[in-house]
Amino acid sequence: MVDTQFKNPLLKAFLEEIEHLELYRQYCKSPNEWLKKIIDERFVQFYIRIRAIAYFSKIIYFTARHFDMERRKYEKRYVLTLDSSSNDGIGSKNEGTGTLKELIVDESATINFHERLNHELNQYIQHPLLYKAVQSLNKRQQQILYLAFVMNISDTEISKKLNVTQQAISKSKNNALAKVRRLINA
Amino acid sequence: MISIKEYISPLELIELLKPKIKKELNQTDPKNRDDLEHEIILKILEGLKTKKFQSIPTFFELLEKERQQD
Repeated sequence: MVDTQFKNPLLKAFLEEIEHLELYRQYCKSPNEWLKKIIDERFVQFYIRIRAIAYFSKIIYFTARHFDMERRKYEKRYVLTLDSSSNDGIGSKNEGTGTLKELIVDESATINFHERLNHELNQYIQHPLLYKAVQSLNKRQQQILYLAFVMNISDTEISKKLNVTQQAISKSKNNALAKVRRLINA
Repeated sequence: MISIKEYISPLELIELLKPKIKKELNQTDPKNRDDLEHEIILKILEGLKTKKFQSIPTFFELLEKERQQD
């Protein structure tokens, strides 16, 4: 009977494979140099794999940590990276091709759908006195009133559209309203 | 000194380490996983080229030690 109860975990694991155990049993029955050489060769193969796995597991661990650290550093340093994908890659891969920069609205873009329709302020007025008063305003004031009251756009947005300051818009809007009020009351 | 590359082929080593690589990939952002996998495999191949183990015990040395302890 061959004693195969070892305390050493390496020997134990090595002999857990039937092929190794068989070799060892044969060797115990009839010790010879040739069998010894084979067992030694097998053991080196076995041992090196264990050492390699242990060694490279550490390398993998540290590589991953290092990689994450570098990524975080990069993201912290370039907060405004607009090229990064807009949905964090959570959606399906086909949808994830858009980037953040494509979502930026160009506020100075002057033509949009409603303006294409070429509506004017006076088409919205029913009251004859008011109509007359508005007709007496100049084109620019009419345009501002149209944007402000029909399209419901804020002064700031109008100023971006017309490429002037917000104060100028506010002023000419108030002037236009005052003039209209004066003409109606007259 | 025994260098690993004489005993293990790169493909076999990567196959052996697959579970560990997968585990580490799970802890990073989904969008970075492919990059990290490449990085890890690169590091493994570099290590395989250069790493040498100092001394390797033979089976019968260990056997001898075991006998002495008894």
